[in-house]
Amino acid sequence: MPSLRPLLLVEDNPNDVELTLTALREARLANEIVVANDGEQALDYLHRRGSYAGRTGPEPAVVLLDLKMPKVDGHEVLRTIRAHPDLRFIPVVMLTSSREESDLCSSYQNGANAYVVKPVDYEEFITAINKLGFFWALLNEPPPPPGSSRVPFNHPRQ
Amino acid sequence: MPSSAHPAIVKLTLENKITTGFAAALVVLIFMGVLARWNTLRLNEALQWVDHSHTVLYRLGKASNEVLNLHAKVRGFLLAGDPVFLESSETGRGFIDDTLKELRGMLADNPSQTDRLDEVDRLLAEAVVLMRSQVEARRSGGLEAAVQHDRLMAGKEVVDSIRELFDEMEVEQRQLLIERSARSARAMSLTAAVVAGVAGLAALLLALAIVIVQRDFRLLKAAEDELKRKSVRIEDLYNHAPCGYHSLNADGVFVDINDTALSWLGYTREEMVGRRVYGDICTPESLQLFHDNFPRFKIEGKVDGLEFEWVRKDGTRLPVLLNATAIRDSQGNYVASRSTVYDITARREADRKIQELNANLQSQNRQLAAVNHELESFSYSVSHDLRAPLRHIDGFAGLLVRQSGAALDDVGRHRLDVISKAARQMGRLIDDLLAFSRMSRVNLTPVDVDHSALVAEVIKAGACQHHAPAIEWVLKPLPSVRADPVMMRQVWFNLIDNAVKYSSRTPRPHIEIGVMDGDEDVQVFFVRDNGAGFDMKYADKLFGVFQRLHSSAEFEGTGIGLANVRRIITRHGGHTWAEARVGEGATFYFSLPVTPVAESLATSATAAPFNS
Repeated sequence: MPSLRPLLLVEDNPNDVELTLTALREARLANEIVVANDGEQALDYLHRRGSYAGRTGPEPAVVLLDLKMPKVDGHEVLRTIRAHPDLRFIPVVMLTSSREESDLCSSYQNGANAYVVKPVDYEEFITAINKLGFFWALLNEPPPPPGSSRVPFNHPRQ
Repeated sequence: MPSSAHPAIVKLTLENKITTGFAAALVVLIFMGVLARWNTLRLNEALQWVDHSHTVLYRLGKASNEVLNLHAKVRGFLLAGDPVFLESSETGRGFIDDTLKELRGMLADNPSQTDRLDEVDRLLAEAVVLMRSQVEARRSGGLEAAVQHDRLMAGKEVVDSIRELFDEMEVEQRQLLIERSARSARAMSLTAAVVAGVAGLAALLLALAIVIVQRDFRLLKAAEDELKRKSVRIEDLYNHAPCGYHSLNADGVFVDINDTALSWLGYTREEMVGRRVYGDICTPESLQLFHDNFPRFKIEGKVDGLEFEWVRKDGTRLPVLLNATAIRDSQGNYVASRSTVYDITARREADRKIQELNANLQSQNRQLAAVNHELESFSYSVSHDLRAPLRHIDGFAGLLVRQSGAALDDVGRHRLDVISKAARQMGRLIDDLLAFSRMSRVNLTPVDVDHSALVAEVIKAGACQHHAPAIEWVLKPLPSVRADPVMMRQVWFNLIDNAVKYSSRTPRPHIEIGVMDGDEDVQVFFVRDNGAGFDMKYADKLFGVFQRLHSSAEFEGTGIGLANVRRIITRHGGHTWAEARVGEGATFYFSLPVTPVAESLATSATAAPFNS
């Protein structure tokens, strides 16, 4: 079994980072949790460049992506991931405060795997994050690494 | 100008009548003349014949006397022997022969008289022979021989025979005279009668002709008067019509123009007709329009709805609408136009106002769109930015309780609980407000909604979940009405949730859902409970955003539900209202038009959450 895939949390608000990390810790996941504070950092991490140049290891099991962020927002991060031949299969879950229809539509149109609205109630929030972590880190079978001979067919480029 | 055919016909007939009348009179006069002439000839002839008879009678008498005279002379000689008696006997004999010849000529046409003349001739010759022999006997034998009885008697017999014949002839001639006189008298009276008759007929004809002609003249006069009246009326219609009329010849020169158009332009007829071309009263743009259309008009014979800008004599402008058809001669050549012109100043003004209003409306629409856009940005900010700190308050309060709860006393834990609850309440307020705002902005997609099924579904989905005493439900059958199903679900949810909530402290809760009888165009639904009710003087506050008639301690709630109901029903073209009594329950009504009205832009655009 290859090394555990990390979870990438893209979130600009430190309070949310702290709450989310606490909730994930409570889920007792063994996976490394990488936090990117904005879209630019997230893309650097994924492209292994900038401060993440020379990063080794597999692609994340899931990207938990906030929408509203400075510099590069969640929509753009999602579009970039889906447009990249080596990254396009990475599961992306939108984790946001917005229940706006336009955000929902745009996210699914760009290929989000799920859309979760952060509950205000702390208990509900903890439960939601626990479930998310459990599902994507353990239950979900991630796509094979890029260049793998196990890719059964060529997806058309988006 | 149109002319009535009637007077022309009358005129023609009248001319015909006059001609016919005079021709008839002429024919009658000619006939009368011929007849009179013929009668005169006949009378003349008859008179000639009478004259002829008289002459014949005269000659007969003369001849008879001469014969007697000759005989007497011979007898005188015989008795006296004096030759003086014989002196004129030869001339007498000649006169008799002449007279007889004349008579023969005159009576040549009468065979019986001619036969008698032949006999007279024969007897006369015999008498002459006898008389000569007697004369010879007297000369030679003396008186004795001459007066021999048989000789004398023979002479007398012959003379008597001659005279008898003359008498016979006279009788016949007199008979003829009587006949001829009678004939001439008949001819005379016939002539008189014919002349009188013909003269009478002619007089009658003349009288008739005069009567007819006079009557026709009266008709003609009446027709002329009518024509004059019509022509005056048509002239008036032409000149004082509420639109302009004019005619242009092939060169575009005015050949006619009515008073209305003249009054618009400020020119006199003398200044226009024959003096100005159409282009003279046009602006340059209109002149171009005229040049573009006039040649085609002369060919096609029709032009519709051209809008010209005329220039009045005083230089001001007049917008007009022109329609025209072409007048053509019998060969089909263009003669002139029949142009109708309308003053469209008022219409132009109305158009301008409409454009102005449209521009206003568009600007308002843009403003509304801008407001809507701002509202969306605002909502987005609220949903995203305002909820995050609340989540953090509740989250960190939760963390504190979870991780350091044991270190706190009861008062500390209570205060953390208050912090959490306040944050959660604000979160709900924000969620409801966003839902309300969203409900105002999303498009309606109306379908036939089975309200009975929808109500049953809402109740089953747990509107009564937080209810202790069992509710007695009375669900009347509800009609299907076209509406947006998602929004209607929200309406029923809010109303039923309200009813359940406010009857939660009633010992025997009773909720009735039904539809009012009445109007076919509008269905009125209601939800009735026997719960807490409210004071009707606050009824108008019920449907406002964040308006509550009960404290949160009594009944939980954000004060958005009924505002949402009203917003949705209003967007469907319906109304909401309520009736209640404190402590006795409340009834909430909403109406839906059976045929949904098209949602106006304003209804959806003014759906701001804070102004209801």
